Amino acid sequence: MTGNPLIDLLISVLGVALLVAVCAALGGWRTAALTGESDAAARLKDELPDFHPTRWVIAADGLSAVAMAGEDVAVLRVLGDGTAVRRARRDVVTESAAHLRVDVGDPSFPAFDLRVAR
Amino acid sequence: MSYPDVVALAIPGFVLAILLEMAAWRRGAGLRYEARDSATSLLMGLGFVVQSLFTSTIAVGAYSFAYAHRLFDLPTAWWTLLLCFLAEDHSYYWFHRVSHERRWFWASHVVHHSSQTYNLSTALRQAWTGNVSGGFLFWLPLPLLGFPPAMVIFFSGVSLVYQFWIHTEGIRSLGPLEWVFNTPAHHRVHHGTKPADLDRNYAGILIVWDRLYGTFQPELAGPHRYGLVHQIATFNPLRVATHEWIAMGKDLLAARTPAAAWGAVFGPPGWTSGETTATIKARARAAAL
Repeated sequence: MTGNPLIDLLISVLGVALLVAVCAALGGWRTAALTGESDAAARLKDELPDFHPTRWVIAADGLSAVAMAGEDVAVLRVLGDGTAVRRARRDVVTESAAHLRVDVGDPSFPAFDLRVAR
Repeated sequence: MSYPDVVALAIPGFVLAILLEMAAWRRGAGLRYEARDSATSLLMGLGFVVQSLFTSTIAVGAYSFAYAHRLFDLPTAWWTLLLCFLAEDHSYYWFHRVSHERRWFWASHVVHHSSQTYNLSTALRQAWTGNVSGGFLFWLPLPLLGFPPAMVIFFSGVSLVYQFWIHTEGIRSLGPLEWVFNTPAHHRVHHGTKPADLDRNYAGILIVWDRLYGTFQPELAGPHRYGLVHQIATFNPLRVATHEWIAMGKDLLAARTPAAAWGAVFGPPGWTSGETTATIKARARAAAL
């Protein structure tokens, strides 16, 4: 563009920021938080139709949930207006009084803490 | 002969087209945008350009070496341009197909498929490790045949620019053009994760390669589910760029036999977990019976 790579990079970063700002200003910054167990169950059914949970733990902020069935768990994370799900063994979840630590050992699904809804 | 840098020339057009598509999305045209998802896609595109400044020398060096040992001296004429266009598009088809069917190349290409949305910003979600992992090898026969590296790079750029506009849900069908060209409808199938859509429609510009090699899938009725079979849970560009490489490394370290190690790196994606495209399609067929 200008011949100076640093200035070109700066212009490009500003261009990215502009497009993202326009998208956000138009209403594109959406978080499809879980509204409850039935909402979480519906999203889980889309991803893992053969998983039938017997117990749910929904995060207080609605951004994650853990469904348990025997020795297996299904973990849901809200990502913007989408959802990501993993099925794993139950030992990926460490429970304490007020929160769960979830680490499925998948680099595309970072470990996280789930603060339990009261 | 010098060729224009079509990608650089197209960037203002990319920006304008994205703004227009956002406007259409706001007017309720059945499109989908999410700001953080678009930010990740755009930053992946920016990172792709930056890493290309350093890694494209690998490809250019390899092309130049091959051209120095070329089999034919081809003149710059309309018919060599036409042949180069077809050869480049054919090379792209096989590069793209292998990028889906072998984990080594998928580790780079997975980046492009990691968005759950499908819009023009998704087109710019490009891999950062394509050159260093050897993606350029698929184009090496072209300079070896006698096509000048600059001509090959030009048509690669044309293909990249062409493929920008097909990343949209705003265009439904283009009638008879659907027979010959890769179109938004064909490419929506390619980004879909329903079993019938997996590993289909690899074309760059001409869909005829998919029809020829048996990988064509027409768009079926009903909404698409875009992204990956197992969606990623991050907008972090660094994690998006590297997650499959890290997963591959972990599987490689856990391999107990040479066959397992080979499969973890050069098998189809999902080989280690037993969930490949073939097994997913077989399971879907069994469930439909």
